[in-house]
Amino acid sequence: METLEYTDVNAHIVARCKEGDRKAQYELYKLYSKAMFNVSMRITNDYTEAEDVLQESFLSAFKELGIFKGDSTFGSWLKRIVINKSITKVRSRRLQVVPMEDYMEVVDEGPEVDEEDMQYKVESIRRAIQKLPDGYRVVLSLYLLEGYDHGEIADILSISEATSKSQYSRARKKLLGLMAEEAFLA
Amino acid sequence: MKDRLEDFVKAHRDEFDSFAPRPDLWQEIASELEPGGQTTMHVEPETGKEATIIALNWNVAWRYAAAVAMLVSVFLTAWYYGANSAQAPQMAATQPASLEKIAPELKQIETQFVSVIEQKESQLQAYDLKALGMDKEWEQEAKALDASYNQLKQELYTTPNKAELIQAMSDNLKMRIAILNRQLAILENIQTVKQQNTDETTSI
Repeated sequence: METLEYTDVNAHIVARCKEGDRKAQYELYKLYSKAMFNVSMRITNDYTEAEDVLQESFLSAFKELGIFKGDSTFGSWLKRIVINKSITKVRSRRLQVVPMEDYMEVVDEGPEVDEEDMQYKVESIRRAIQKLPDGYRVVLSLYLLEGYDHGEIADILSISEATSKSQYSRARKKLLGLMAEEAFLA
Repeated sequence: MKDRLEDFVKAHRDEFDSFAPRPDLWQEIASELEPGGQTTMHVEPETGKEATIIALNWNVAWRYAAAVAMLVSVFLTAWYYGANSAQAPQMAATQPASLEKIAPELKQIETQFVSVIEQKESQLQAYDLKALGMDKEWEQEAKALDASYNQLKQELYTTPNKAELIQAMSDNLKMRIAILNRQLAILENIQTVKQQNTDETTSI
């Protein structure tokens, strides 16, 4: 997570953005666009949607900068906007009316994988995440990569903390299964 | 329990951000931000002081907008007329077909006189001018006439008095023929004089 020093550096630019300084806005965009795009990519699993999310998120962030109090860093505030918009996309795409919790169906996690033998590679983890079903992928990404705890994930997804925990552990199992499968096929 | 997966991801966190948005996405965002961030600050009208700032900004923004609009319209008008006047000679050069519509009689005049001019010019070429001690002074005159002829031709596109212009053009061509005739006459004279001289010397 961001350090205190980090916050101070951006406070300057954020203040200029509040005055509508286009250069400062571009500074923030340069600083955060790539990371935010990847956050959205992991949740939506769709390049075009992730770009839409990125665009909408920056627009609403700049427009609503007035309500940003600075009690968190700009980065984590923006990240929540990106995550919320990404989840909205996933929900409207896949399940127009069914709430998130309902589609966290139990997916067959596959055979047990001996973790001690696993050779982790960034690429294979990343590809396996992309293959996960939406519900699993969202929870796993939020926990494993975005650094939220189960309490925060419960809040973001409007689910219980217990659901978050169980979904994560299933997603994790499934992920390792996918990775083992890939290693086997390779 | 120590989680190897979590540790590995933490250690390689940056490498997971492998995607990048298309480079021109900022342009789109910027274009949608166009009205300016200031106007959106009324999200938080907590104090009266802030409200007056917004009003002031609006006034300033209005003036800027008006100034920009005026500049743009002036520029566009200038550009429109500039483009039109610049286009006219270009059209004249590239579209002789439209000239035929403007002055169909011109073609007749041109073919008539030009063939005469060409005939006279070839007659002139037959003389060995250097041997006769003549320079090509008349060529300068012909060039000047040629230039003014072309100028008249351009004016045909815009002239309100076509008949007069056509007359001037045919006069121009006639004048060229007159010059050529005079030149030919001079050359003929010289030739006969020289001929006589040689006749005299040989007869002696």
